Amino acid sequence: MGYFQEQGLEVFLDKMKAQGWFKLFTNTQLRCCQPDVAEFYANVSVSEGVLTSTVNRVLIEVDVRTLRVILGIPATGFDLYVREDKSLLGKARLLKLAQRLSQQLGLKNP
Amino acid sequence: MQPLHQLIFWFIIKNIIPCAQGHNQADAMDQCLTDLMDRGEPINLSAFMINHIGRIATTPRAPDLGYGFLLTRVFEHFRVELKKKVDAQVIDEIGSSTIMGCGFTLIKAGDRSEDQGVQTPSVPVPCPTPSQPAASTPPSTQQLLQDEITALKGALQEEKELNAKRHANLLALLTALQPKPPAP
Repeated sequence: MGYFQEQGLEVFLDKMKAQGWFKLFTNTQLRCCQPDVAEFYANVSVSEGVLTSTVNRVLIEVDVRTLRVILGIPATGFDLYVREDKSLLGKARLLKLAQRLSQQLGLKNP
Repeated sequence: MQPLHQLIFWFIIKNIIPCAQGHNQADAMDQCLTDLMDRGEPINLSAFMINHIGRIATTPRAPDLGYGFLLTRVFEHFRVELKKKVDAQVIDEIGSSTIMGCGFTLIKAGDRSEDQGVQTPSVPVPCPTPSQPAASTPPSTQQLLQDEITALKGALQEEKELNAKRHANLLALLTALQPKPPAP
């Protein structure tokens, strides 16, 4: 980490810190168990914000608050998941987004 | 999008709402998250995980199974006996494609430790353009302005090189952490 900071990478690292994700995403001790993840997805169901699945015959049941505790991340902030219906974001918001990301403040349409 | 935005976008589609390989167009959702992260406004990752996993589970043509590392952490919490754990891998493919994807032009390929210093960003860093000297400006002022432009160009080039270096290093770090479980 020290090396990355020396190289002037704080800009992005600071953005991760601001989200409270820094520890989680820089934890090199994390492992991935692919067959179990696949089994999790095969059995998963979501109902009213609760994920339920079984992995190796163990029942897994998590909601936003449980995830927050397990992963050590905040569970507050923007949570509007709009994969399909973009209109939920609103045209005014989309226009602001387009202006900021393209750095063209005179933009009239998103 | 500026290189920093592209880097944030890359992080978002790999870690926050993991998408299928080949997803390289930022839709409204991706743009929104990129902008929020850029401005330091909080994003509720837990809520996104639950919603996105729900979508993966209900979509017939499911995208990549994401959150491999995070879910494995959850399994460990529930004391699931895990079959086979895989360490975070440093994947070699961070080279040309990812870096070019972030708006850089690769001049010379090399291994990761070498290629950090050899990219030149193709996307110009926004910089106020010095206005053209008016026709009535005295020659000495023009000379001064010319010198200033040359100095600015040099500083801009240095900045570009530094930027390229930063992105290459960061991509190396992020790629090492990227969960990549296969489709079942």
